[in-house]
Amino acid sequence: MDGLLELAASALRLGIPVAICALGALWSERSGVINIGMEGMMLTGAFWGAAGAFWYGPTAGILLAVAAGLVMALLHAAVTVSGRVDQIVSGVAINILAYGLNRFFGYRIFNMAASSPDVPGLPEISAGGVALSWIVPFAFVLTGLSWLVLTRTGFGLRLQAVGENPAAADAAGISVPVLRYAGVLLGGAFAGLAGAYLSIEHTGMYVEGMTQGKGFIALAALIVGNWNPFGLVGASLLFGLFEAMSFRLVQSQTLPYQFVQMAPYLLTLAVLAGLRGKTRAPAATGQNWSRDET
Amino acid sequence: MQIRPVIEFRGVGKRFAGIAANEDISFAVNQGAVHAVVGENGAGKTTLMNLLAGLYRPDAGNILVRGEPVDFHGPQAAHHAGIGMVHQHFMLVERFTILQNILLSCESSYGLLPQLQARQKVSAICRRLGLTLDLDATVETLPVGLRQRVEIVKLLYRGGDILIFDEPTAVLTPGETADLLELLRSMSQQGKTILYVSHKLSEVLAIADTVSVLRQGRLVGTVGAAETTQGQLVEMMIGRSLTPSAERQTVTAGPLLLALNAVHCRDGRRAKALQGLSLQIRGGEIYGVVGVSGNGQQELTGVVTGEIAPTGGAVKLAGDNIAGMSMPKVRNLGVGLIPEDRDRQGLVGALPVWENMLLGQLRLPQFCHRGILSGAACRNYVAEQVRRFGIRLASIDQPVCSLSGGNRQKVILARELGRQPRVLVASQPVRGLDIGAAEMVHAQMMAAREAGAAVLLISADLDEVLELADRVGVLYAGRIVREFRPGELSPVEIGHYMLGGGQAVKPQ
Ligand SMILES: Nc1ncnc2c1ncn2[C@@H]1O[C@H](COP(=O)(O)OP(=O)(O)O)[C@@H](O)[C@H]1O
Ligand SMILES: [Mg+2]
Repeated sequence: MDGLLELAASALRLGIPVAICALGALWSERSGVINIGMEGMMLTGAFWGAAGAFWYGPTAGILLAVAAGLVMALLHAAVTVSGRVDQIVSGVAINILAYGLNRFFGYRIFNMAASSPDVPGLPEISAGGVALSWIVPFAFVLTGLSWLVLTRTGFGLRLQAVGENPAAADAAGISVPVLRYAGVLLGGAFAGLAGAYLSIEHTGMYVEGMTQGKGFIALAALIVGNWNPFGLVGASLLFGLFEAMSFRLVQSQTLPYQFVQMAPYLLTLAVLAGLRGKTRAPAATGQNWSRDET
Repeated sequence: MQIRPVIEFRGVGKRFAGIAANEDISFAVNQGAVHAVVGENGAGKTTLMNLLAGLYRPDAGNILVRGEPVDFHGPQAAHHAGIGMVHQHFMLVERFTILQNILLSCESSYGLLPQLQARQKVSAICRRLGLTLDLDATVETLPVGLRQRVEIVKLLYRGGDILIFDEPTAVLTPGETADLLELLRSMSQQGKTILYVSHKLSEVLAIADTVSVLRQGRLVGTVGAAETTQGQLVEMMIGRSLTPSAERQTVTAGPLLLALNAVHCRDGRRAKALQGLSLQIRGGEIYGVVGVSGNGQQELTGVVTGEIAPTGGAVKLAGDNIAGMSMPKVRNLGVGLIPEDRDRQGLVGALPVWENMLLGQLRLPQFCHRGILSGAACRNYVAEQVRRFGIRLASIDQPVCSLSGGNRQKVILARELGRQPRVLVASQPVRGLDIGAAEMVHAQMMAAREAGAAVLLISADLDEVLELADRVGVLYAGRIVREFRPGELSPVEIGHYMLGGGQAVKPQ
């Protein structure tokens, strides 16, 4: 029993950053902007989270991480929504930029390129013998809130409309750029939070490349969850479970660990392939928009 | 009692990239009237209505609403003035429900939405209009007729009393059209002012009180519907009277150019689509194919143009079997195509007109030397074709998608006929075009016939086929089940064959 409980807790710990990141990607894509820079934004969040926690403690670290995510998102929004640059190209550039910036500031701040010193985390909640970060329950609150705002408020409806049919939204008097900025910025804030969780809460330090593709897995979770908050959180936790199980397998040393570590990613690919054609992205996602008046 | 104009256009002008879409337009619309705006495609009707609805701002002149000059900065400003528009292309979010669509465009709150009140208000509007709508149905599941109703309810929900309809019947079946006209009449009786944009003159005369005619961006005149006739309106629209369908030249039948022998093929879902279709067309002959859609029309086009490889039988172009050849090969052998869906199959919307006009021909020696395009030769040729076919545009560098539908079709026609094809396949060539453009397309097809081409005309419009074709084949279940010459069978008899009556016949 204890083993099962510990496995569940481990799945939560590993799945929650993916879930938070996927919620962010949801806001961005529902507004019509693909953000494959989520990985880079999360990594930026992880770095500045560690820096903030190092200087002023964990709460400041989280706030700084969210702010850093917002800055990166602002860049993505400016380039794609205002500049109408291809969204994929901009996302790739953000990932590369994040890597370089972290390295640069790593030297300046910690005198180390690839990691930070140990940083303090928030006090943990412990229940039934397992300890979890406060960010875990908070992520579930965010999930419910995201659903509520997206489906039940004027803001959410407008944001969805902009991602489905910007011309129709425009004709209804909605500002497409404003809502797309809002979607992308929300995405950046979530990515920053996910990064802060990784460095401050999960590992206790920043390590270069510590996101390990979780930002991309989040995009897969978004698809598996059919662009629905609850669905994508479920998919993220499933990924967390795969990963938790693979850790256990690695410890048992039955298979070469490289293969075991591949398993969660392969399973994700398999699930994606199986879902082909069964889920549906917002109709206008990936398409930059302008009212063509010359 | 003096009738007051509720809208007045005074010298309104709007240019797009140098071309005048509207120029010096002045007329007034009376309170409670149904005022029609007619004109050919590209005449500037939609542009003028977009100006009134706040989507564009005029470059010249001004618009008065209830006597006050207005300057709308966006559609919302027009909504506040009580002006709403049902666009030619509906402005609905397909994956939203009807209620969500209405909330989206009518509720200004960013917070929690007043779903319950909205429901009641919509129900009240529907009751008043005698409509039934399932508010929780997703728009993508609705037929176009109902989508249009949703647009109308949206306008009324916002409290609009000046309603603009841009070509509302273009997408409707005859039954839905009758219902819509009835609805417009009842709304006008309830005091709404209606601007009705169309180029279907019979509808216009049935519903409108007043008609304003636009031609090439300018106002030709405004007349009372009771004091005018269709003929007079056509003359105003196209600037001349319609030539009574050009006298048919007798063309001596040329050699056998296209022969299909017992052709079989499957459609995309692997079902049998053509099942032993045979037909023969000689040079100088127009062969019309009629039939209920879905009986193999698309596959017939496909096997002749090389898009679909038949699973059996032979397709012979002047005696050579072309079955299974690739499309470019077939084209080079002299098969031209006017595709059914001109925007998806006929043109690359974002590319300029000149490139579209030369698609598939860029390797011909007159345009290209050792793999390098000759810009001047291309441009001269295209400019010449634009003149010959009377294509209205600002520049041949303009993206083709910015032309009106009729002009886009003319680009395709100019491209296909410019290569003097031996066989021309024309699928629904005038669908969605106005009178002037349709007349031009038909005249060009007749010219191709006189030049000795074999023309395969596939159309859902029986009248069109009977007017143009030398011989007609009825397509049913993937076979030509009856051939006749126009005049030999009555429409009722033709309808009988179209629905599967009768036996398959061997062509002569
Ligand atoms: N957004 C636009 N950009 C460039 N040209 C346009 C635009 N909208 C319309 N036009 C041009 O203005 C002219 C009038 O078009 P439109 O108002 O759509 O005509 P109609 O509705 O009568 O068919 C056409 O020549 C068209 O190509
Ligand atoms: Mg129009």
